[in-house]
Amino acid sequence: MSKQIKQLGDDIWKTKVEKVNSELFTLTYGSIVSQLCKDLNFNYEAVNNQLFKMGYNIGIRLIDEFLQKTQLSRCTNFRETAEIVSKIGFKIFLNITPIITNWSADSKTFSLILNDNPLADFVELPDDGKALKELWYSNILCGVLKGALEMVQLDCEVVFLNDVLRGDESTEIRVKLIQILKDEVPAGDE
Amino acid sequence: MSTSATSPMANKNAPLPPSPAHSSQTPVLPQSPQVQQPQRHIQHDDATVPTQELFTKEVNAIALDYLINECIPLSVRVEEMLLEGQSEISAAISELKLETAEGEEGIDNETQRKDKFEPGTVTFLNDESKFLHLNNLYRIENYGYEIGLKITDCLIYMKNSNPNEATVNMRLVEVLEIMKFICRDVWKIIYLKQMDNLRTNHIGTFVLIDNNFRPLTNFYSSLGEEDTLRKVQPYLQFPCGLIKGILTSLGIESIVKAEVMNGKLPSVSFNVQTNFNNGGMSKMM
Repeated sequence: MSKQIKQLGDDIWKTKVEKVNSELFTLTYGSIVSQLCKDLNFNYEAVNNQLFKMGYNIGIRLIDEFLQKTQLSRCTNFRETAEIVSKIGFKIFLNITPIITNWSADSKTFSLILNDNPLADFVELPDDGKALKELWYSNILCGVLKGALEMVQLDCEVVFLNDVLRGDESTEIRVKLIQILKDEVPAGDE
Repeated sequence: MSTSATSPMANKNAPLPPSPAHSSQTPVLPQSPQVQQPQRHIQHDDATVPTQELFTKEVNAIALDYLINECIPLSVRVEEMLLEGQSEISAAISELKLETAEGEEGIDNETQRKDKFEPGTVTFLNDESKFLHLNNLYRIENYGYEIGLKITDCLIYMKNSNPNEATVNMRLVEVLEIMKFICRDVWKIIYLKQMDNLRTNHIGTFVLIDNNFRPLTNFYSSLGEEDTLRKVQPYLQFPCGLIKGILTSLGIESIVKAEVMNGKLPSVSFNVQTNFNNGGMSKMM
């Protein structure tokens, strides 16, 4: 199963995706974050929050693109979801496949380890005494995951645990399934 | 002479831990990706630099589209936060004067702020006073400008280090050459197509035309064409800033305005006014 998923992700990346240069993407994101920090007067908590919202907005749209490209149907369990997030989701949008690890005993929580993060290539956090402790530079990814998973009825909590930019050993995103939502007509969409 | 082994660019898979040397510089900004370094390599080029690996990584173009698109709601939210910040401060001052200490208003503000975030919708476009506010347009232009300032080096280096690409004419001396660079190379790498037309009056004004401007290809308002055209304005500020930034990085001051051609999306024309008439720079040199 895992192999098939990987194959699908690779195929889509190779044949169905228009590509842009990764450094350009890094640079664009870096400029936005840097500008945001200035605008919000280096209140990093607010910056994290805004990055998450950006991501959330992106995630709930990006899932359409994802489903259209992959033609996948519902996952049978959360472990399969994790495989698909890593080997297809991350693969077809960012061309990386994070490692899935640290499953909780109830199979509702897992970690994604990003050995390669296109958002953060060449990035250094400012040495102002607090960015290293407070800023989650790539927090937009959490928002994207949260938004996209919510659109397929998986209400999850997605947070950064570690980031190499802060001097940690790895970049780790923790995904926790809170509940499976019921199919509902979205509010205001009658 | 730095060797490639110690250079940060060679180490690209391992983002550098913040170096202590950094504290001595003017602090604060997150070092957005360091473009200065490719330039340094051009100067000290030695054969061991793994240039081939440097610009071969790619991401999905849609990821970049989403990112750039999301700048507009981001800017509106930032504007709201800044305005609220101001009103909270003035409220706090007036409270101080009255010496009353009611905490309830603060809570109200907080709940209101939460309610305002309506993800996935375009309700932020309903309040024209906000999204067409000058501050907002200016901030969006600035997002583009900052990026434009930084990508020129990166682009030139990238094109020239890749044997499969035609090299950029490095003598970006004449304004016309620079405009061609924007039309061909910049547009190609960001919007995946070249500009369709470039016109100039030979006294410093250029018109760049893209008949199918990628970010706006799926842009419609449910309220009809007129409404669409009004709401498109903030989305045009970004590429304007981008062009302006690139020109600035090459030493040209400019004013850039964009408009939808004949009211028909997604055709967009960019009007660029520069200080130099064509060839003026080379005469100066």
